[in-house]
Amino acid sequence: MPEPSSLEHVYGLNKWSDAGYSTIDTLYLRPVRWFHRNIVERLRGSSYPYYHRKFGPVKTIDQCEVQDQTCFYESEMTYLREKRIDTMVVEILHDRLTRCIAYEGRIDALDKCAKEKDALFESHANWYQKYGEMGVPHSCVDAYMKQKHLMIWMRRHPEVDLKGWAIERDYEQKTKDYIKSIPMPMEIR
Amino acid sequence: MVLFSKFRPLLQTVFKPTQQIQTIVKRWSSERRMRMMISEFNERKFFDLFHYYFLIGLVPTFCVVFYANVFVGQATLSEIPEDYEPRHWEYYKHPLRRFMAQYVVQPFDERYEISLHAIYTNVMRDQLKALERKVRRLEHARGDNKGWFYRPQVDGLHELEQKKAAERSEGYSAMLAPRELPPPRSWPVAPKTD
Repeated sequence: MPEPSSLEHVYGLNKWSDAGYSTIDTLYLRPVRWFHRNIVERLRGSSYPYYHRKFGPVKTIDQCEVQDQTCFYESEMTYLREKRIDTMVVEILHDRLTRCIAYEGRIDALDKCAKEKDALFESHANWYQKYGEMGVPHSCVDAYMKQKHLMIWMRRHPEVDLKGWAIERDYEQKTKDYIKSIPMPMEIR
Repeated sequence: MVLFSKFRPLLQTVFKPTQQIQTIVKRWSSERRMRMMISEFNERKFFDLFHYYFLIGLVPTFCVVFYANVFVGQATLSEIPEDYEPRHWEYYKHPLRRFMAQYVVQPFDERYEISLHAIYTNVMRDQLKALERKVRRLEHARGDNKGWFYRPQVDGLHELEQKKAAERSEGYSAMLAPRELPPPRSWPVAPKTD
């Protein structure tokens, strides 16, 4: 899936879409554009800025003193903010894959959407490794302990493949083989 | 909608109740004729409420929102300039949202700092309470401090008993010295200390 298509309408492909677009054009788009150009842009005041919030550096759990409740609260808020951002990231990548599949079609997406699929798979795996399987509710201390236990386990089991790319590729190949094995005429496939 | 009241004469022509039908009756004209009409109360009530909520609620709200969206416009995202700390409402885009953040709603950072302060004061309060509890516990156990509830009565035997109880709790031993050494003799001659 390359760049998304432009918002202009191409007249001549389909007379029904042309008719529908002409209706919407005259009833809604032209009045709105006229209003915006002639009234809004003339009478609107000066533009003014808004900013994105910046959160300063804060001690994490491992740097906090013992029984320092304020430090715990700050690190917990940072942890929750990071979690929300990472959740949005995974959501956006999922959305990209969905759009790619909708654009290409279910079968062609196996070949053409590989990059989006891999990005989603990786981000989802990382999210699960960082935030998942700790139960609801959980605290930043639980996340820290999970990280520690994972590092210990990885040190004790260096041969284990935790990412799972081999399994994923294997599953993809099996899907393609199954689709190839279905007897269909060549014009449709 | 203001033309609804014009439809009332039509009701009279369409709905001509006969003597058998029972309807709500209301005098309508000055002829020597009793016109039976349906109650107007529900209509008038509905129109009253409609006009009330529309003119006092929707129209001002719509005007305000129209002005904010069309003539003021939404903010544009920009980098924070050097040596400038934006006010807390300058982090929002829509002008009405900015207004609420500026005059109505508690700021985001303030809420955070209030929570931190609450945690800090509660921690301090807990520590002071624990200290008070400890002091009261020790006073009750030792009974040696002249607190406000304590009547000072010197009791040598009680103090001796406390000491012996501590020694007994440590355990009996054959290596212990006797209870008290005898006092040094003073008669006839005090011993030499060289």
